[in-house]
Amino acid sequence: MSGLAATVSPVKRELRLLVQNLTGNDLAKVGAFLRIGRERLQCDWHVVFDGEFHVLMRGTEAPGTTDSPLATLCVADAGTGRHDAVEPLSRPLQYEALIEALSALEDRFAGMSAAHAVPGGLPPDARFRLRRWPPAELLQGNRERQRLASFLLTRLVGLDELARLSNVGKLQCEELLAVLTTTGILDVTTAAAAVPVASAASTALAQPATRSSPRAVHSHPDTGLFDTIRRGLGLTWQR
Amino acid sequence: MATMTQHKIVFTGPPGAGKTTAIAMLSDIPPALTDVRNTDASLGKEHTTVGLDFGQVDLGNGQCVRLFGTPGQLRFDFMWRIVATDALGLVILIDNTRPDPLDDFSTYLDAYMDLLPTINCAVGVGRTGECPLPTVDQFGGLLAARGLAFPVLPVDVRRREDVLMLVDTVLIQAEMRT
Amino acid sequence: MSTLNTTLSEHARQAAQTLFAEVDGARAVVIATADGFDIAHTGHHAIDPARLAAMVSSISALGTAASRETGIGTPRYLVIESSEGRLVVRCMQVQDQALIVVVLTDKSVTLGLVWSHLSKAERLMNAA
Repeated sequence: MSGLAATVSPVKRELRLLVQNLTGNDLAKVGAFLRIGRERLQCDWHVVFDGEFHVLMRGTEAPGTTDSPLATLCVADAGTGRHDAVEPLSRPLQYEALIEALSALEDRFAGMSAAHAVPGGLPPDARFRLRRWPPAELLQGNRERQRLASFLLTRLVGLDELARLSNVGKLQCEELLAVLTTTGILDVTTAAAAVPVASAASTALAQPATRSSPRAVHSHPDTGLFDTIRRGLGLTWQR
Repeated sequence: MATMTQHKIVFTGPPGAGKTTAIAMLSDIPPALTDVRNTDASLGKEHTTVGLDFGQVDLGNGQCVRLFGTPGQLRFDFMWRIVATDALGLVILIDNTRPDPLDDFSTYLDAYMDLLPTINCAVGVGRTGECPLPTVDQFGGLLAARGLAFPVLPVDVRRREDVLMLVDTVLIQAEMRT
Repeated sequence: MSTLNTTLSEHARQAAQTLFAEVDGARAVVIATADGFDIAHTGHHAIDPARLAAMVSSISALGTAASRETGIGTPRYLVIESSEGRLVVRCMQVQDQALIVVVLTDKSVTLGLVWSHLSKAERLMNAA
């Protein structure tokens, strides 16, 4: 072995592409184009049909059964026009169009990536709390992100608890937490730490929020009520 | 007579911010209004709320959520505190087309100063499409400068889903305190 | 700031002074627009007329809402009977303007007399 340089391919980040309402021909092309375009793409894309995902790719002929918190690619017959204010990928699917669309999403994710933001990723026993409401640029008008940020306002919460309480996938929770750790507004506490550890980036932001501890001045009902209220209002986020 | 467990969410904010509209978006019943003819030309409205708006969401099983709206003008600030007493949460609505929305916001933060550290609160900034400044982030910054952290969302109170989002963030905070 | 016409404001001022003079036991009189601006006030009791105007506007509006809810028409009087005095609130229509007149009185004043003076004040303002 000596004298031979060992070539190690960098480990690519995995991204999951959830497909819905695509034709058999669409699916076959997606699979083929991902194989052919593997070298061009920065990430390792996997087509999935359920479960957690990063990007939703769906045909526009029928409504989707879920919304992607991060991005949606629409597929439509040529000449259909814009869908949801977004230019769809036209059928028959073209290799360049798909790879360019995926590359653009990879660039977006690179700015938000957990792997880039937090060396070694999030500590497994970490708990988090926001010191202030995040900038709009981070939330991107995304309902799930807005909800997740709300859960992080009043007390420290761990990743698993955040996912459970919010009914948002753990992957999406992790993505947002990783992004927030780069902003300097998220307190991160681990079991080993005696005091909250401020996130790495130090921006000139306000003092920690002076919200009271979980014991509120006004006593309020148990959590079952909140699901009842959500149902009564027609909110769809209840567990 | 069966007793009903009641919970209260209060909508407050300057005149024209959409408090009455927001309540109408959610209420199961036609909201009870205390609107009278407006004599203040600077408001640019024909009517104005002088008492409170009242709506209700029936949750079944003897539970309901009451929705209250306060009058917006400063001269009715005595109503703001009365109505907010024992509320599950407070929604502050801001109209970004007014001359000084951040000053408006400060007025309400001052009015509820002693409640805010413990109350569940969300801020909805309306008409940001017409007037993008100040930005939503500036409202967040104003809160942070006071040591407060609440959701600040751009909203159109004529869209039910926007109003629901505000209420959801209030419910989330309440839930996290239990 | 209310944009009420000056003639009506002057009539309201006169009405307030007349009420104060004629109602034995009156401590203060405030006349307000329905949306809570005070347009006339007089009396010897220390009050903030602007604040009281806003409060009685709210009270009146809530009374209107309750009357509407119960199908009993529109309120004419609201009375707040307190341990040390009484607020008598009259909702009136003067030349297509909704006004609220509140008289702060001693507890000893006969309510019917106050109502009578308030009705007279409304007639005079409409006749002016």
